[in-house]
Parts: sequence; structure tokens; C-alpha cells
Amino acid sequence: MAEKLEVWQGTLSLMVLRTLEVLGPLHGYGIARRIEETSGNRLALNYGTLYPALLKLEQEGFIRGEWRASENNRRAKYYALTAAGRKQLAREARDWRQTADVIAEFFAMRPESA
Amino acid sequence: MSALSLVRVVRRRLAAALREVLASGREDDELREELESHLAMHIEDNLRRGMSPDEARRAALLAAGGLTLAAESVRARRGLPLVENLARDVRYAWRALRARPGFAAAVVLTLALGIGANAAMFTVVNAVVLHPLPYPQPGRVVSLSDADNGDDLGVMDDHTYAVLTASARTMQLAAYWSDSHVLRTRSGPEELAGLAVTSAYFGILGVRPLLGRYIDARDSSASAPPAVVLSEQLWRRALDADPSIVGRTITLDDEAVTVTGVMPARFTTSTGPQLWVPFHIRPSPPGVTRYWFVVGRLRDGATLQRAAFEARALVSPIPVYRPGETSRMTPVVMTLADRRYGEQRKPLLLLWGAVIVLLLIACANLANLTLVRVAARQREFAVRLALGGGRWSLARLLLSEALLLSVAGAVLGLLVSVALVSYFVHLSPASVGNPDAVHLDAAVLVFTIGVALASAVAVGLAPALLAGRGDVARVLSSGTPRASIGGRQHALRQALVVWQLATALVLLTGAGLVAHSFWRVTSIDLGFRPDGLLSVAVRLPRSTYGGGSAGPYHQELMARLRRVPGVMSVALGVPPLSGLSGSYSTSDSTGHLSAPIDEAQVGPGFFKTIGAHIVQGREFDSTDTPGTPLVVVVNTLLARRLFPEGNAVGRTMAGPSGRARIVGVVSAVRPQVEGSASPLLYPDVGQQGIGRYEHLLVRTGGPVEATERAIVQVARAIDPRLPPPAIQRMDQVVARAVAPRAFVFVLLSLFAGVAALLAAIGLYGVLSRVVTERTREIGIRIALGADPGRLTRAVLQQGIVLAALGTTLGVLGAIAAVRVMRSLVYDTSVYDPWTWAAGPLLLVLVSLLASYVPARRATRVDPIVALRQE
Repeated sequence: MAEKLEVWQGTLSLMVLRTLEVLGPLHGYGIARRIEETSGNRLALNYGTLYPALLKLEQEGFIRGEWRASENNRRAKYYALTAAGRKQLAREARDWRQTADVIAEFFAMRPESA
Repeated sequence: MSALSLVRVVRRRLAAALREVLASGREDDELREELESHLAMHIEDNLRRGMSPDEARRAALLAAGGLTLAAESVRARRGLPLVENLARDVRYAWRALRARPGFAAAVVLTLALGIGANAAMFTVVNAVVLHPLPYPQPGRVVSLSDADNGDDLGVMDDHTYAVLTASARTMQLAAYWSDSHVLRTRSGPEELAGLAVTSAYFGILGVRPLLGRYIDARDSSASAPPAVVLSEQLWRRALDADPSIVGRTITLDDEAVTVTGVMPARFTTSTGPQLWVPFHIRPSPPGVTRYWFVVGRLRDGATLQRAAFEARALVSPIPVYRPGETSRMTPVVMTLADRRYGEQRKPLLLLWGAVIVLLLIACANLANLTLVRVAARQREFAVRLALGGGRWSLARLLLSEALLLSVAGAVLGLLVSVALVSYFVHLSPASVGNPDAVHLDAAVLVFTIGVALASAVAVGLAPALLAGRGDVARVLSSGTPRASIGGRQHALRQALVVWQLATALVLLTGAGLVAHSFWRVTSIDLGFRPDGLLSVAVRLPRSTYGGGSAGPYHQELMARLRRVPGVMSVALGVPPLSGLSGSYSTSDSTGHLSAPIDEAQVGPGFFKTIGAHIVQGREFDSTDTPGTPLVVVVNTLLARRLFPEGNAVGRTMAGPSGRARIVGVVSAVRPQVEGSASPLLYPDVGQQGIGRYEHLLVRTGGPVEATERAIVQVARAIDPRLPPPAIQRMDQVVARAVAPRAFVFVLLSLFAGVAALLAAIGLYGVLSRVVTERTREIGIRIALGADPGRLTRAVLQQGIVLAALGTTLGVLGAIAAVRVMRSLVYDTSVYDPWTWAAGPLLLVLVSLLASYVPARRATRVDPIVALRQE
């Protein structure tokens, strides 16, 4: 198996929120699958970190969990984005872009000729 | 995170925690269900991709490897982690312990003894050392006395007292004296201990009265009506707790006295003074010095050092005459707590230290025991780690087990401590200060909880640290149920055992010295025979026995007592060990005072009665009367001092009331059990005049209790208005005098013995472990024909090396520690060869025994069983 990237601390919640924004309500397994697919299977998602992250987001009120029947009639807990979650996503996305821009500036630097 | 969202999160978590407590099962189920549905969906996906059912399942489980960790991590996030985890850990620990009841019982019992002994010692230390006095700001209450050439008299002369009361700025002073009074109650007259106190006394101690007021300046003038303050104990017992007692009169010493107040029970003790009367100090006549007890309170801003300095500066030294020297009296200022309990403090602190060491030794044993359990549970731990249980949660589980055990130990220990404390009080009331104040209180509870927590950490910490260290793969692959945890752990256990042996030896050495001292004290020749000897204090009131009628009363009492069955002889005199002897000086024609001579007035038959040895001449008899020439008896020391050339009998000397002829020389009687005898003169009490306060000595050959009852009956028959006389058994007086030594001897021996036993058990445990871990190897060796004797020797050798190390370190430790024993031994060198030989010898013997049992076991290993074990 090719070496996979670890999910950065703090970026997981951004991925979860964005996934829910794009795809609507999803269960934990679905979220995990989608994140791995979106990354082109370059990311290894540790399940041990996914569920605590989901619970944290739920406790902070950014997502809401609800038990429903899944596509093949299995009971699963579906998570949906809340209004607060939408705002939080916008905030995090802005922060992330800024950080990415800053980092990009650093890579754009050329050695100055003296 | 903004403040608002923080509040929101906290509120949600609190709600979640609450739900958790109410329905933790439901929440757990929900989480499990969510994770299970995750797994199921993964398996379905795998099946869709064309995997076989088995493959699909394995791949999904592999991917979900961290599920246990996820579950724990989610739980930790959901509840209030501390409370939640604690409850769960305790539940796990309880389950783990219930599976091993023998181990749990051994640990709880060991801890109960260790914690119980600690709680009991702390109860006493708390009462005597930490809270000795029931007064506000007790550290500022001082006691003053004279020191004669550095020898503290315990009392202060009236001249010094007058100077200090008038001029001292650092403290306020009061004087008091103990006396006794007869209270007329419904059940008859009763003799009560009391204090005569000056008007400042109560203000200095600062305790508010329960009822009315205490004695103050209003009562100090000689014209004030007679007043008395009662103790709450006396008020409840003899006066039915009459709420309107203040202002009423009671009959005290045949006089009507007004009750001004009642002091609360904590102000005194059941054996202490029960009433207080005003003390009117009159100037002493010239040439007479009176002494009394003096207390004071430091004024604001003053320190003990400044007060002592001021007292020394104010008092011009008083010359005192001694043969060949002029000594000087100087005032001594110390805290009242030091005065009362200074002597008890050191042995108590020593015993406290010993009992803490004992607990440490016990904890070392338990840590050892837990380490063995860790080794045995290595596989269980490895499985937990492999399944994703965190190392920290594993350590927490072990700590929880230790905590559960130590809490159980503490609860049992408190019961042990209550029993021990009552045994302490029984053994030596004097050693525990005020027995009324020695009881379980909040401080003792807090201390016990602290000790329990500390021992939980001590017992659980090392195993908890080691538990996470094992190599999971190696343990799981080795396949044996009891994999060894390796050399590091074994070294730790050996170090613990060496430390235990060394510490036990230090305790044994201390116990040996104390035991030797105790043996010396109990084999002292007191100069009289205390068994079967009773001392009877007779106090006759002035009102009925004033004008010389005391003599006939005493003669009548003695005559009747001689007819009591079992009584062998009766005599008047100062009881031995009572400290009631006086002293006198004579002045020559130039007015120069002689050196003081100690004297004790005794009557005919006194020396025969107490069992003293008459060296020369005779003792007083019925031929010596007030009409015949004055006669005296001297002890051998005074005879040697006055007539170094010998032949004292027949010579005359200056007695307390004129020249007197020496008729006999007696062997010296000790003034105290541990005090050496001094020169003493015995005048004839019959010739000096029998007073209203006298002591009778009664020697009985019959049962002592029956004689005591007979004495009370005879006294009542002569004069029913008198209270029953106070009777003391001299054997009990001696026992009380040596009780503090017995206290230290019994307890220190007990602690040292238990320490040695625990150390031996520790050694046994380590060697047993060695044999168990090497069972397979030993089995192979035996199968290959190894000599069983050599195997025994190999194990024994390990034990001997550990014992030798422990003993050597212990001797070094004892050499360092023995200095504190110097003030606690009697007539025994701290390097007493018997003690220093016996301690190590005992320890080595016990160690050999502890090593021999596992060594024997090594030879009995059955090779077939040993090899089949795996």
C-alpha cells in the first residue's frame, strides 16, 4: 500500500464541515469514505479520530446528529450542518485560504541576486 | 473560541455528563451502535467490491483497529472526564480485585495495621504535641519557675513573683497552688482536687465561663465573701447541673461558700482540678520563702525570648547555700505546653517516626506484591494494549486498584486505631497527655485519608509505571501465561527488600536500647518493697480537729487498722516516691545558715512497714514520746556526709527543732524511681507533733482490695463526717512511674517486630518469585541430574546476599539514627553491645528462615510438571 498522508490536526473538522455542506446529511462511515475519495485516497483517515471529532463538532453545535435508516435499511446516525456550522465553515475556509496564501508567498520567493 | 461559545460548550458538556450519570448505559449503547453500523457498512462495501465474506470482515476490522481507543476517547470527551473516569476505573478495579480475594485480603489487612497504627499515633501526637492546651492562643501562655543552678524547680519563690508581677512589661502573671477541699454532697462528704488562684489566673488562660463569672479582682480582697468556681464535670455530677447555681452557696470544708461561676468541661480534665478558690497572697515572714506555680500570658508584640530576657534582667539572683558552693536561682520562662508535655513529646515523636517507617515498609511489601501481580497479568495488559487501550488508562487502572485497597485499609485502620488508642491510654495515661482529649477528630480523619492516598500512590505507582513498559509483541508471542517482566523489575524488588531489611534493623536497634533501659529501670532497687504496701492520705478539717486532737485520731485509726485481718504493720510517715519531703537549714551563733538538709517525718515502725533495711541501730518505737529527748534516724548517705569516719549512731546533730541524738541508720530510699537517692534525715513525727494532714503506710499480707475496703470502713466508723481517705497502692505508684518507659518499650518493640516480620516476608516473596520464574530451568536441570543441594544453596545464597546488604546498611543507618535515642535511654549506652549484637543476629536468622523455605521448594520441582507447564 502506498504511503498515505496523515490528516493534519484541525483540518479534519474543516473537511467534515465542507463534506456535509456539499453532500448534505451523511453518516460517519459515509463521511469517512467521502473524505478519503475526495483526497484521491491519498489521505488515511483514522477512525479513532473521526468519531471524537464528530462528537466535538456536535457538542460545539456546528453539526447535529440524528438516527435514521440508511440507503439499505440499516440504522445509522446521520450528521447535518447547522446554521452555526455554516458560519464556522466560512470562517475556517477564510482562515485556511489566508494561511495557504501566506505559505504560497513563501514558496514564491526567489533568491535575490546581490 | 469566544467566551460565549465556551460557555455553550461547558453547558452542553455538563448536560452530557448529567445524562451520563443518569443513563450511562444508554449512551454507551448508542456509541457502540454507531461504531457497529460503521463496521457493517464497511463490510457491505467490501462485499460489493467482490471480497469473500471472511476477507471483507477481516479488512473492515483491520481498518477499524482503533475502535476501542475511539470509544474511550469519545467517552472521555463526552462526560466530565474526571468523575466519569474515576467511577469507571473503580468499577474495573473492583472487578479485578474480586477475582483475587486472597491478594486483596492480604493487602487490606497489611494496610489496616499500618494505617491504623499511624492514625493511633497521630491521634496522640495531635492531642499532646499539636493541640496540647484548651486555651485560646495557647502558644502565648507561659509557665514560670526558678532554676537552681540550672535545675528547674517547677515553682517560683514569692520574692521573684512579686518583682515580676510589679515590673514585667512583656507578660501578665498569676500564681496558683493546688489544694483539696471537702464538699458536702447528698451521698456524703467528698474530697476534691482544687486550685487556689490569684485574680488574674482566669483572664490569662482566656477561657470563658459556662455560667456566671470566674474569679477576678472583685474576689481578691481579704474582706470579699468566700467564692468558688466549679468545673462543669463537678456541677453536673454533684449538683445535678442546676442552672441557677450561680449566687447560691455550697458547703465547702464546713464553710458556706458562694458559687460565682462554672467553667466548661474542656477547661480541666476528669483527674484535674474540679474547683477554684481565690488565692490571697500575704507577704511571707522574714526568713521564710514560699513557692507557688506561676503562669502568664505574653502581651501583644512580646516574644518568649524577650520575656525570658526581661525576667532574668529584673530578678537579682538569690543566693542559696550548699556545702562548698553558692548557687544562684534564675527565673525560667517556657510555654505552658512545654512545661506540661515537654517530656512526653520526644518519645511520642520517636514512636510516630517509627510507625511511619513501619507503614513505608508495609507499602514496600505491597508494592512488591503488586509487582508480582503485574508480572502475572502481563498478558492481560498486553492484550489491553494491543486492543488499543491507552498506557495511561492501564496505569490508572492499577492506581485505582491500589486506591480501592487503601481506602478499605483506611476504614479498617480507623477501627484498629480506636482500639490502639484505648490500649495506649490503658498502658500509660501519662504518655498521652490528657486522656480526655485523645480521641478521633477531624484532624485525625484528614490525616488518615492523607496516609491512605499516599500509600495508594506508593503501592500503585511503581507497578503503574512498569505496566506500560512491556513489549506487547514479545509477551503475546511467548505464549506463557506468566511471562517475566524482566531484569529492571527484579532489581527494583531486590532494592526494596534491602531497604526494608535495613530500616527494620534501625527500628530493632532502637527497640533494643529502649528494652534494655526498661529492664534496667524495672530492676532498680528502690530501697523499699512496694508490693502489698498501701499509702493512705488522711486530711482532718480544722473545724473539728483543730486544737491538737489530730494525734489521738491517728493513733485510734492505726490501732483499729492493726486489727484488720491481713494487715501486718501500720505506721505514720511520708510515703516513698511521693516527693513530699521537706528541707531545713539551721543557723549558728553568727546567724550563718547551714546548707539545707532534706527531711521526712516518720513514726514508729515506718521502716519495717515500707520494707527498708535498717543498717545500724534501731528505728523509732513507743519509748520515743514528746517528753523524751529528741531522736532522729539518718539514711546512709547523710550518715556518711555528717560522720565520714562512721559510727553515726549515738552521736548528736542539729535537727529541725534542736539538737537530736541519732538512734539509727537506714539504707537510702529513692525519692523517684529514676532519681538517685540523696542524704535524708528522718525526725520522729510523734515528737515533732502529729498534724491534721498525715499519711499512713499499711503493709498487708492479704488481698489488697479487701484491705483497701477495710481501711475505708474503719475510717468511716471513727468519724462518718470525713470523706473516705485517698488510698494508693505503692506497686501501682511504681508502675505509673515506669509506665511512660513501658509505653515506649512495648510500642517500639511491637513496631520493630512487625517491621522485621514484614521485611522477612518481603525477602521470602522475592526469592519465591525467583524460584517460580525459574521453575522450567530448574526442572530441566533436575531432569539432567543436577544436585538438588546445589540448587538450594544457590537460592539461599541470594537470600544471604540480600540479608547481608540489608544488615550492613541497617547498621550504618542505626549509627546515624542512634543519637536521637540518647535522652531516651536509662543507664544504658546507645552503643550497648547486647543490642548491637542481638538486632543484626535476629534479622539474619529471620532472613535465613525466609530464604530457606523457597530454597527447599526449588529442590522439590517435579521436572515433568515443570516442563508441561508451557
